[in-house]
This record gives sequence, C-alpha cells and structure tokens, in this order.
Amino acid sequence: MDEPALIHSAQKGDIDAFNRLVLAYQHQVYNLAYRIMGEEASAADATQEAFISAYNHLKSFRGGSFKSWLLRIVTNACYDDLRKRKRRPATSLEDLMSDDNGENEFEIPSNADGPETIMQQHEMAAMLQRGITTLPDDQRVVLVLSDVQGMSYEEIAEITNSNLGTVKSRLSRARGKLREYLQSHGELLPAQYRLEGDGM
Amino acid sequence: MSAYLDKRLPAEEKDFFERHLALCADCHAQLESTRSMVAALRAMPLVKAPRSFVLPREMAKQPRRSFLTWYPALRLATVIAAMAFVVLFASDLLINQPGGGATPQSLPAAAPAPVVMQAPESARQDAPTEEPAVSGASNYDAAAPGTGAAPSETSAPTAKAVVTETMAITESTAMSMMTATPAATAVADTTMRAQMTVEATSELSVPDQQAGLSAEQSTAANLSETPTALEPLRVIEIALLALVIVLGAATFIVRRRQA
Repeated sequence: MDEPALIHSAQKGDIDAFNRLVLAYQHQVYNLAYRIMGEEASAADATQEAFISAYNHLKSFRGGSFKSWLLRIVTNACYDDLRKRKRRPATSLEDLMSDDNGENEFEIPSNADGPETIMQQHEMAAMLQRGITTLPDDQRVVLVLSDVQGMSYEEIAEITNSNLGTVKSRLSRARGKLREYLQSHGELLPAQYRLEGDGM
Repeated sequence: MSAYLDKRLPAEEKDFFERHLALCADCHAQLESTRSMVAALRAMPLVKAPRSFVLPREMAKQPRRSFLTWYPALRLATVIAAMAFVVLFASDLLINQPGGGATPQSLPAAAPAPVVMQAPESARQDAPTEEPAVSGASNYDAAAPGTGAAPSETSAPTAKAVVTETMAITESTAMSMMTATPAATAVADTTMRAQMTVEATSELSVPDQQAGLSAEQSTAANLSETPTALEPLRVIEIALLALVIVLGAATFIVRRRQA
C-alpha cells in the first residue's frame, strides 16, 4: 500500500483511496475505541465517527504519522462519547458492561495456545477491561495507548494533545489504580495471573 | 515507578530509585506487580471489528462540497463589512476628535474655532480704514459659537437669503454624510470656504461682507443642525455593525459545520 499516494488521492476527494486506508487501519482504530469504551456498540460508533471526521478533515493532515492522526481522532470521538454518557447517566458504563460482562465474542486468538490457556487469557483480558473502565477518562486513554497499544510517551502526548509530564503522571496514576483494582479482584483470576501483593 | 518501568527516568533518579528498591521490599513488590500487569495489558488479544467502516460515497462527499463553496465567500463578505465599519467608525471618531466646545460630539464643533480665531485678527488689522466691516465681523464672531444672534445685525432680506442658503448647505452636508465616505472633507471644505469669505469680507465692501456673513452663518447653522445631520451616519454604523455580527456568526457556523 502506497500510503502517501492514497492520502494524496483521498485529499482530492477520492473516497475509494480513503476507503483503502480505512481497511488498512480499521482494526487498530476499533481496538483502541473498544479498549477505551469497554463495549462494542459504542466502540463501533466512535470508530465510524472517526473515519467520517478523518475524511472530512483530510486536508488538515499535513504529513507525519497517519496512524497517529487517526488514533487522535478516534480518541477524541471516544472522549465526546464518554462526556455524553456522563450527561445521560441512564445508560451507564456499568449497565453496558453487564450486558456482555466485559467479554467479546469476536476476540481473535492471539496464538496457537491450548484452549485452557486461551480461556485464562480471556478471563484475564476481561478482568483488565473491567478494571480499565473504572479509571477516569484521561487516565484510561493514556493507559490504553501506552500499555495496550504500546505507544511511546511522545506519541501519546501528540494524540492526547498534552505534554510529556502530563502523560507520565496520568499513566502512573492509572497503573496504580488498575493494580489496586486487580489486587482487590485477584481471587477471580487463575493463580498464575494474580499479581504479587494481592494477598494470595 | 511507572517511568522507571518504561525506562524513562533520568539517570540520577534511576540510580536513586534502584538504591531504594534494593532496600524496600514493598516498592520492589509493587514494581513487579506493575510489571506483570503491564505485560498482561500488552498481551490483551486484538478484538475483531464487528463490521467494516468503509464510507459510503454519498455520505462522505456532500458536506465537503457545500461548505467549501460557502465558507470563503462568507469569510470575504465578513472581512469587507468589518473593514467598511472600521473605516466609517474611525472617520466618525476623527471628525469628532478636535471638538471640545459646547457640543463636543457634534460634527462641526471645531469649525467655529478657526473662524473666531482668525476673523478678529483680520478685523483688527482693517479696523482703522473700514469700520462697518469690523463691526459686522466682530459682532458675528461673538455670536458664531453660540446661537446665531448675528442675523439681528443684518437686514431682513439678507437674513432670508442667509436662511435659504443655510438650509441648502445643510442639506448638501447631510447628503455628503449619507454617502458616508468623505464627511470630514466636506465639512473641512465648508469651514475653509467660510474662513476665506470672512477674511475677504473684512477687506471688502458691505455687499461682500453680507456674502461672507451668509457663508459663515451657514457654518453656524451647521452647528445647530449637526445632531440631525449625524443621524444617518449613526444608522449606517449600526447597520454595518449588525451586518458584521450576522456575517461573522454565519461564517463561524459554516466553519463549525464544515469541521
């Protein structure tokens, strides 16, 4: 895929070129949205909004990492959705989480491990996802970008439009809170996934 | 601890933290549990997107065209209207600035000042030779900034002519203000003409003096007519300001929708 050429064509209004970019990045974008939002429908909405917004603002893309640019847009879409939820508490995050219990039937097996290992990873991922959704929005976004998506502090600062010091402090607080959450719910996990210091 | 885990601590802080870790079992345990947690987060499986997010053509293209065509035109119109308002308002301020008499906000408030200052000087110079001119000019000078008591010095037909001419000049001044561009120039011209006529009057004979009087009185009449003559200017300023606000709001909304 010649990404710069596709971006150039898309900037001129070629929606087919843009859709090739969508196909290339939609899983990454959706995964970020899913980890931030914690459930499928909101993540899908945020992803769709992000691609529409990206297409409409494509002229404002001035080079650099197109992936980071897309992730920044979907992060903002997630922020907007989370803010709307707070204004409409009737559909709380807990209610949405209880529908699918933080699990997702579409998860892709990461490797060729046996069924028991896959099940344990699945349980651990569901526990982590529930813990992530208990974090404040700012901390949640930074933790997902850093520890789930594996981005550098600099990339996170660019995506969240903040400075490195803010990224560091939010990440530190998020990890501390998530660690406490996992330690307090550690008995639900298989022994090898429990964290040290959780009393087991 | 978090930054240490990511190898983002400065060298001296890293050394300090490592020395502390060697001594503090709690911090060591916390570090290891955080490290395990981060590893587990990294190992979270990728989630398959429930559907494709490819954009339908009709959905994405329409808003681009409509807003891209409207936005530049609206922005240009806003800028032009704002500039017109600024020019008009600035010229209005400039016209009013040199005042400071009884009516500081009225347009030709400054006009009588040079007339009063210059006319007595010329009158005093010519005083020994042309007594009538002196009396006429000086009497009028005394009355000029005020209400217009000078016509009492002139005869009835002259007064009528003066009134007629005054109304004509006032109308022309108002018309020039309606066009809203060279208001200051028009008033300055009127004042200049009035001054020149007064000077000429003090040197020439009585008929000329009457002509001078009528011209100068027109300036004085302008004084009393000023508030009404300025109304169109104010109305235009307010209308322009409203136009700027409406256009600016429209531009802002279009830009937001475009975004």
